[in-house]
Amino acid sequence: MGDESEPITDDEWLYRRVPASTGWYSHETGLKPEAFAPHKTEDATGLSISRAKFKTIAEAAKGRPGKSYYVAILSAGDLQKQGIVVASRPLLPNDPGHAELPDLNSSNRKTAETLERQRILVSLCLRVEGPFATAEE
Amino acid sequence: MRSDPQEGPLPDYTNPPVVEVILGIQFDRLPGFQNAHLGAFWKTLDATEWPTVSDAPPLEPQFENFAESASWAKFAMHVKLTQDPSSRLQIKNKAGNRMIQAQNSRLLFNWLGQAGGPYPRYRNVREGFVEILETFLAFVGREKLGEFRPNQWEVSYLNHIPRGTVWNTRSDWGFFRPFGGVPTIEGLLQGESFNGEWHFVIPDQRGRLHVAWQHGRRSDPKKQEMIVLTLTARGPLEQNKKDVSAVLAGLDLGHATIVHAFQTFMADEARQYWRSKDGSD
Amino acid sequence: MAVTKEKRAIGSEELQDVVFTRVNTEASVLREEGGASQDPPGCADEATGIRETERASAWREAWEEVIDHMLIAWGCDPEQLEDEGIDPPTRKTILRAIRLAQAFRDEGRPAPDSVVPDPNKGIVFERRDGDVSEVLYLWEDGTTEYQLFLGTRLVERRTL
Repeated sequence: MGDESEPITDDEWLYRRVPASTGWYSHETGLKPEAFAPHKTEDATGLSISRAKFKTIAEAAKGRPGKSYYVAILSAGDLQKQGIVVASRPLLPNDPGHAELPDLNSSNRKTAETLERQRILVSLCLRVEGPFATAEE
Repeated sequence: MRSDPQEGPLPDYTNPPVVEVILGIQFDRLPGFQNAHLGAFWKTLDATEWPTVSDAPPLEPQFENFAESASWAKFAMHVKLTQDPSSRLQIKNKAGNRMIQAQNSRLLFNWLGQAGGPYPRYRNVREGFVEILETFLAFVGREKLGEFRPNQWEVSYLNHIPRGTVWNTRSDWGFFRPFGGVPTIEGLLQGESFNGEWHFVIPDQRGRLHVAWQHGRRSDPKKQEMIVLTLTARGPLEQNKKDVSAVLAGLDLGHATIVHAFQTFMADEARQYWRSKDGSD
Repeated sequence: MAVTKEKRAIGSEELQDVVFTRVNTEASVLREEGGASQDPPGCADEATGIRETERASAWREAWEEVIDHMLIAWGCDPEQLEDEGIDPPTRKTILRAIRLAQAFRDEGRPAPDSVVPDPNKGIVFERRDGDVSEVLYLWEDGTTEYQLFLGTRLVERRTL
């Protein structure tokens, strides 16, 4: 596993968890921009993503017990090329691979730039894995 | 056919029939902008120069888009789900020949020819618009009202063409070349009037030109019969360019389009009447 | 843009009163979108007319599906959408969405390709046609927007 203090490099993969119940992903219609929409309070410093260096896809998919999730996979380099900053924000000790996209956050969630960036992220998505069910506790 | 209306010198007239010119910019609604800010903006202007204000209902957003498959767009224009409490403020100068119109999502600058005085030419009106735009942007920045993101430019020329100038009867309306005439069928129908519009795309989907023809009489005691011919050019800003220079580029395109269209649409006699001359505007 | 007008009697030659000091003609406000194709009523081409009827019927059915099996279902059980980082739409927003869907259905507009919640109690309708995406966005604060995207670029945005 990597060192969480290392900056994110262009060759890294990134994971974005997508709740299955929302309809933000289906095999038929693909990924929706809402999968990258910031929450109005919980994404104050940026949209949460995970670094593949620090967790498996199944680990990235883990969420609420009894619920299912997909994982959208992106390339850090692709985001950088589009001018979307990826910032390492480890949440120690449990989530060293936590990262954020500071350009998409709670306060700018309604701006045209954020709405466009959401669609850019959809276009950059390499593939979606899942669904993965989180075991009941 | 000219490939770019801005290429080469623009046609010019000594006494054009224009009575009003509007330069405007439409922008994404500023999240922090309230009606109170309109008054606050007025107060940033020189009170001696801009003494008169009045309220007006807000203007609806207008977009020139070319996505033919946008099947919801037309209906969406007419759906009104919320009452918009926004207002538009009209600020006139002391001479009564300039007007600023401001609302959340629009800023317009008018030259008002009815106040008297010759048409000052596009360059002069443009300078006035730039000054007001910069003042407005500074105000928006100071008050932290949100990011200014222009989305459409617009230019309008309103012309009054009274009876007795380039036309005397309806059969003379051919002074305007796109006009096919008001038909008369001997013994059956006699052409009386016509009101209508033409719409043109500016090549490469850089915008549209809308031409409106209205015939009637003024309501003042003279009841002068006239044609009101309005040419409005409007279009999106260039992709990824949302700064003042992009706004001005759009306005210049709109102006050049209108001037060339007017020149082309008018018969030679009409152009002579208004004393067309070659040269830059 | 508004030239203020007071309409006079039809048939007279009197010009709509133009308040010349407020120039911004509304000449183009109600113009039909260039390039939009619509068969006129009483279309002479029967085959085209039949296709149009079938298409309109399919759209209507699709809207009914959205209303009955999605929006109303959410309204009955909004908790199904609850998750980490997701605030499901309120019943009020769902009702707004139903009304909007009914309006577009009754107007004969194409049905959306997707209807999904956003993370903040909102609802998003979207239809796509090639590079063009149209969105009806019901925000949690009560506003509803029409958004038009060409590719990833937002080219039009208006509050309904």
